[in-house]
Amino acid sequence: MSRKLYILLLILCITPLSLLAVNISGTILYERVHPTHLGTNSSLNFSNITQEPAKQVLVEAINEQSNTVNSTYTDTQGNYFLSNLNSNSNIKIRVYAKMFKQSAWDVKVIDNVNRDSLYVIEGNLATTGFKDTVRNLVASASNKSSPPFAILGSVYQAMQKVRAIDENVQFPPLKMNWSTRNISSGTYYDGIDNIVLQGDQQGDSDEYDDHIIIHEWGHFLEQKISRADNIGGPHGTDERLDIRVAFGEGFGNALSAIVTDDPIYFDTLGRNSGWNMNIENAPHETPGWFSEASIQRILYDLYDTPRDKGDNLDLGFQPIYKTLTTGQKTTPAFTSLFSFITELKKDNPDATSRIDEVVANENIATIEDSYGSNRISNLEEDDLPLYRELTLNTTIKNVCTKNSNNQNYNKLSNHKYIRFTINENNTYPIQIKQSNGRDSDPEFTLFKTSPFENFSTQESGVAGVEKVSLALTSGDYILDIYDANKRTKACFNVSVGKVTDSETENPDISNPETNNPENTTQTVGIGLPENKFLALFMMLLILFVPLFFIRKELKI
Amino acid sequence: MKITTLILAPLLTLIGLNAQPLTGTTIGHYSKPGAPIHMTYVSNSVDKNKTTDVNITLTTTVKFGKMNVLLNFEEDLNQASNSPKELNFELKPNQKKYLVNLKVSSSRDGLYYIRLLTKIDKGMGSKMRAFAVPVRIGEEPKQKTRAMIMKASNGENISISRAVETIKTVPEK
Repeated sequence: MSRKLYILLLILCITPLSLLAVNISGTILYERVHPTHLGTNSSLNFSNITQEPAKQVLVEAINEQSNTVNSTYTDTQGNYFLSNLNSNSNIKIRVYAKMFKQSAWDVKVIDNVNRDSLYVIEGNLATTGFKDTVRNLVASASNKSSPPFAILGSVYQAMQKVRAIDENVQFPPLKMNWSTRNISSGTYYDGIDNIVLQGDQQGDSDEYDDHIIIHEWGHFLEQKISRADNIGGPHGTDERLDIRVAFGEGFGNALSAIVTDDPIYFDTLGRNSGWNMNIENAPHETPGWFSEASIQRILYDLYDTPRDKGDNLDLGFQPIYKTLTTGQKTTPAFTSLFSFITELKKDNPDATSRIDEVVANENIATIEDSYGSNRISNLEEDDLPLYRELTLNTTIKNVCTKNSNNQNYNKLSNHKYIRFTINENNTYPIQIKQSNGRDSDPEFTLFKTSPFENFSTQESGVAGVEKVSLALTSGDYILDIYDANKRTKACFNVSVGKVTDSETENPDISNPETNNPENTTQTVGIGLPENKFLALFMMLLILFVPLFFIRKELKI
Repeated sequence: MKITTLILAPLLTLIGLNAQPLTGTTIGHYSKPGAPIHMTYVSNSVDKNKTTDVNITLTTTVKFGKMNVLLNFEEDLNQASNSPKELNFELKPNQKKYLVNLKVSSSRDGLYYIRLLTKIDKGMGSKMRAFAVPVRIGEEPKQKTRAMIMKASNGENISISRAVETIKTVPEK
């Protein structure tokens, strides 16, 4: 009897304890490896590792059945608090490389080589006991669990720089793709919602290169919050770039220095290699409005506080951001240094002369409009003017694209811009015809400028000419002309409406395509799929199947 | 026999088509800032213990200065005895392409990488760019993933790594 009473008392004591709720709190940290800079060389220094808070990341309590029993987000110090957990139960803490805040941000780091798996770190499955506990977790650099959180840390820093001046900004969802098997992927923004980062641990990895991450994030910001006409492609600070590329890349470089307040942009290439450049003070290799290096220096000088030679401005980030999200976003010209400075001066009329001074430091004459008019030409023939104006039913001659390397497509003069105005809704023929031979492949993209949109792209592949009739509504347009064959120099006669070129055989404007000699013959044949593998398979079937049926006649 | 040959011929041709060389290029990608060098390559697959050619073309618009190329061959990928580990090119105005032709082999199947670290120095500070060229030897073994792959409670794939954890009881006040 006493034994039974004892057992009953024991059950009555334990049961209330097991119904007690307990709390688990703690701090989530990640290890960041810092670089060492020696002159213009940089490398990762694994002796210089600090622990940083994993801010605003998702934390879950997971039970033995792998179910989530509670979740929260860390604060700006990396602290979390999970309440009301069952006492005396086995729980592990899981931390996701994911930041989410409603109507603010949604960023995660995934393994793009492994089924887009979201990176997480976990603690051990351990009993919650009967008292509150503290579980601190650290994502270590040595087991490669810290890179996803280091990447998030850089993105968080960039987002907060913007939110400090625009607390209502809503960043669209973004996926950061990183893997140690991103060996030859490159580091880039895909123009939609992915940033891909190199993760080759024996070569180029970018997880700790915060300036690079913020540079790529800058492309995302420019496209989503402002407007980016950047056509992408390879680029270097000493190149003469298409003005859209120069601005987009210069902005990304400058933003990395603005966000970190550190003008040393660096790219480590493993433990022993890497390079850096000073966003503000690098040598002026090829200064000008076509240079991303000039543009990064201009933007950083507009932002930074210390005043130096030719820089008597410290606007801060707010005016730059305001211009990006207003005037630059709606400019009727391509986004470039010209459009940006024009709009910045409109917003800040009292600072006009000092803005001009900063621009002049880069050998750039005073910017008067968004089209770069009145440039002083010290460039090659045909580089200027940037935009030419075309009147309807006339022909502009000698619009010449140039290409010094048959792989380029984003350098100065690889593209030529033509502006024209339509006053009456109608169908208009557009013709780009080579005048110095027939070895080019002219193509064009037509933009309507208000609101700015890609209206049509024509890439027929016909040698020497591109012709099409398009239904156009009244408004202003820009033709972006380029040579897909990337000839050293291809010159074109350009017309919208009636062609007034004397070389034209038939000036009929109603339907120029029917008068085009190239269109009088058509290819007839069996349509094969574009996939060569599949095409060859079909050809082999066509060859061998009839042989099978006539084998008796062939005596095989 | 001849009928069998007729049937098998297209299939064998298709199988042969699989033995394509690996090709690639960095041209056309959004590249991060760095040395203005672009790379294309042709890397011929080969059986183990056989030597294969890897032909790399580096393209740059820089007309003056020096380009240095450091080559790093992954473990188990052997370079021919006369293959260089470092190359230096004098950049010229009328030359845009610089060729790096290598011969490699391995005694083990797998996908290997040749890593190139390129540097251009025009006398005003150097810039660098890294590349990696894949070389397939024999059959590619299955990749081992260090981290476990599971699903979160919402069904999303997750890649789990161990954290360094400390657990302490909160002292009573």
